[in-house]
Amino acid sequence: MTGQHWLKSGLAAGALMATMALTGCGGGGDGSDEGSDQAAGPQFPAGAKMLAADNLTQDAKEAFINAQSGDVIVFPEGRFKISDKLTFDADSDGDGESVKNITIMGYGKGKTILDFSEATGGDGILVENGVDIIIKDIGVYEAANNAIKLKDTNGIHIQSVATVWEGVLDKDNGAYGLYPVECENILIEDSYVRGSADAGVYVGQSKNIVVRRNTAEENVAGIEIENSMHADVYDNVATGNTGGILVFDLPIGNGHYGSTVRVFDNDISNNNQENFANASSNPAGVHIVPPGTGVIVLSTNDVEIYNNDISDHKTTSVAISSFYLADENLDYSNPTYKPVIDDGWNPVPRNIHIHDNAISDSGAAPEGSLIADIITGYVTNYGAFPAVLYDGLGELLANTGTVEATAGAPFSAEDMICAENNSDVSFGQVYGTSATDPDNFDGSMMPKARLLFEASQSTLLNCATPLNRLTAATATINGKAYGCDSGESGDASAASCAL
Amino acid sequence: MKRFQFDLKLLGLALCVSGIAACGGGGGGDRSDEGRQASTSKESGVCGDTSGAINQAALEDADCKYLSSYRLFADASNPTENPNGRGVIYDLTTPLFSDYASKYRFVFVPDAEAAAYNEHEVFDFPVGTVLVKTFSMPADTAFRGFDANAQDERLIETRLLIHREKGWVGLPYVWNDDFSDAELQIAGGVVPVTTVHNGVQLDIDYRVPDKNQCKQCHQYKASGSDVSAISPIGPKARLLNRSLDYASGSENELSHWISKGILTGVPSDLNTIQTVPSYHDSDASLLAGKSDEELMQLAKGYLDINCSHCHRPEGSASNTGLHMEFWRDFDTNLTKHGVCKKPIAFGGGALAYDVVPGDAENSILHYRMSSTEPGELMPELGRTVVHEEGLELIGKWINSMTPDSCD
Repeated sequence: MTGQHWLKSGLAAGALMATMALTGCGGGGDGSDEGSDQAAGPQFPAGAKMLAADNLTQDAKEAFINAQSGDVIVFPEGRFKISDKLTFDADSDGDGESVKNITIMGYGKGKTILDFSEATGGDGILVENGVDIIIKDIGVYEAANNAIKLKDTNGIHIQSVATVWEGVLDKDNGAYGLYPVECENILIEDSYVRGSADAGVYVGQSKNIVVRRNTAEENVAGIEIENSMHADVYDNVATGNTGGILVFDLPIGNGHYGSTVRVFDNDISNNNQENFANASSNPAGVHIVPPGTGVIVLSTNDVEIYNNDISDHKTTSVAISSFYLADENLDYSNPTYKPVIDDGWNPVPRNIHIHDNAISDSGAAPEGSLIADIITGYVTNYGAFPAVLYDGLGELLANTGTVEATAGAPFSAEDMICAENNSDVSFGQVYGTSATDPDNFDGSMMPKARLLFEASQSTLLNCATPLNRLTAATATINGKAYGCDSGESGDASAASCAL
Repeated sequence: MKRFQFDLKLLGLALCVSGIAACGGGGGGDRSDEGRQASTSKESGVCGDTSGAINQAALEDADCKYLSSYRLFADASNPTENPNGRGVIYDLTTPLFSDYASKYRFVFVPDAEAAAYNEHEVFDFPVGTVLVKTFSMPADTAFRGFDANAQDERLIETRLLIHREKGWVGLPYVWNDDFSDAELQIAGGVVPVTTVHNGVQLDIDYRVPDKNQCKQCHQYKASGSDVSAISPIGPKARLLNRSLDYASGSENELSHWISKGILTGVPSDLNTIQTVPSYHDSDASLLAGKSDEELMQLAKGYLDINCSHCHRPEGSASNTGLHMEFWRDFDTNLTKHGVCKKPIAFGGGALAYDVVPGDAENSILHYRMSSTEPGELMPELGRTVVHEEGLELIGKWINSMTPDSCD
């Protein structure tokens, strides 16, 4: 095997190549509700640094530069044009002594709006090298690149923040709304993200992550956990996006790879927005997300998706895929991939558990250029598209034992992709996974697409050995632990944790 | 008064006038008990100290309000020549592009001390060292050179990078209206300037970085360390191994530093030092005659000084996976150099790979260098106009590679 063009050759052999015109389906929400602020008025501690409305950009910069541990920096009420990126570095002097426990806040996410539409910097707010940063009750609008980016920060509490690009959904909107990268101990809650041309909430290359009670609306990706470990995503609403919730592991080559991600008790609905990301041909950019997708797991190990309400998705409700689907040139012999595989990246997802989800109204009008051949094959052969879709290709290749450098060892029981009790919806698997089943290969012993389909789940993803439940994620900020197993009191999402 | 416009519309001009405390403890006013006040100084306390060739005590202790308080130059209104004390002028083989500004760099190593050589990193400078860089906009980039009388260059800002007991500290000083002195502006600001480059007038809103933006580029976070230190960028062996015209004649900079007693541990054979080749704007016209290997070295040198302070595992752009230090071998680190590498953190553009060999126009690296849009342009800071000569170099370099669609 050469590692080249499995997908195409397999599909050519296995799929009926009939053409079918897929309708454009310009669906998508038109809502612009930004959520409501909590009824209680803003509370500011004594000594809070109240920024003045005039000269706000420079005043904010000064406050950020001069911040001392425990400072609360309050932006005024109203909507303000900010002229430059606002950078906070907790160790401005680089002496290793970070200022800690800094709060950046406003009067409410709909009441204090920082408008970066005319700013000279790419990001709105950039936090670097922080220790215990709280951002709350503020809106960040129209940033050229990312609304709020946090890097190399340990302890992030984002509460009731709005990141918004208003108006028509456009590829020139910013990339990420709430964007921690290379961070740890992250709590994002009660926030609202709208209009991102990439992901509304995007946590990348991070660990110990709790994302709960947020609303992600009309972004390309609603919530994305990428190359991150120990993440819990629960009690959120993801609606009107192109894809609702994404768990991706990309070949970055940076030593950060994803695992142990739980997605549960979310309301994931009507994510049928046309994909308005840039038309990049990046194999794994969000522009590949098929419109009308609820949840996607790409390449990430140890993911549990359960007790979500996943409704009204025109393509598919839950998709699990190896990276082979994103790039058919994936192979250890390819210099693009060798260094990142050596670095620890794994393109084939293992230990994925999909259970107890309420799935409805799936696959009415599937589309998506990445999976166009697969869609055509299913629709032609079965007149339907599976609500739960697994590529199977990575597992098949792993099971052959011939491409272990790329796909890893053959699957054992604890590596399986398993699903049970998901509203009796249809299941599909593009490739069979048995290396000993000749039907899974063509005459050249290349993997052959099978386009397996069950209108009601029977054998597909039906595992004899139950997978172990994953452990909860905990984010510790300012010495306080948050998350399902943290012992936290008063968590409004405690019921989700009990599932 | 001047041949070109220079309205000083510093956004932050008033910030440091009324209260020293608002400027990060600057001014040294809290050290007046040391009682070394001088009647000629603008400041009190250690910033007003007049002992010694330069104000070493203030450098090590205080963020003075005025640049002149450190007494680094014989003429306080001319930071481009005649350093006091042990100050030594230096230049880099290839400079970081800063909106076509001219730059004047000096290093002051404390008496009886020396920096220790390092093969790849910035030299290990002793505590008390100060690096001084002045940015000055020529009326016409074809005629660079500061002359206080001719006024062909307009001083914009002077940045100090001071090695104090707890680490390096960056202080941005902005030149005042009459160019007699520069004042500390930790929140940065915008200075509208005008220059002519290749016959074309450029109106530039030159951006003085705020103190936190300084650190965005000047940070160094070693693997496994929780400390994001501030680090100089320029004074590395590979950027200093070149000759420079001193008052005493032309000499290799490293040799000069050794002879001045400010650098130790340099390899005896300077030819063994892997050196970034010189690339200045006037060299762009010579690119057509360069071999592929020469283009490779020039491009890697350009990317090193313009990008790799962030684009390295220890830098601000560690998360991008694009790591382009000069010493990093290209052939065995194609992805790190962006070749057929998908972007990790780039949200815009319609392009797929950082570098598409043979196809500069479809390479994100080239595209972002050609953009001036916030969110698109690279580098993020310190540039508001396109560096045409840099873009040309990187374009030719990418196009010199064996074509590969990356698909």
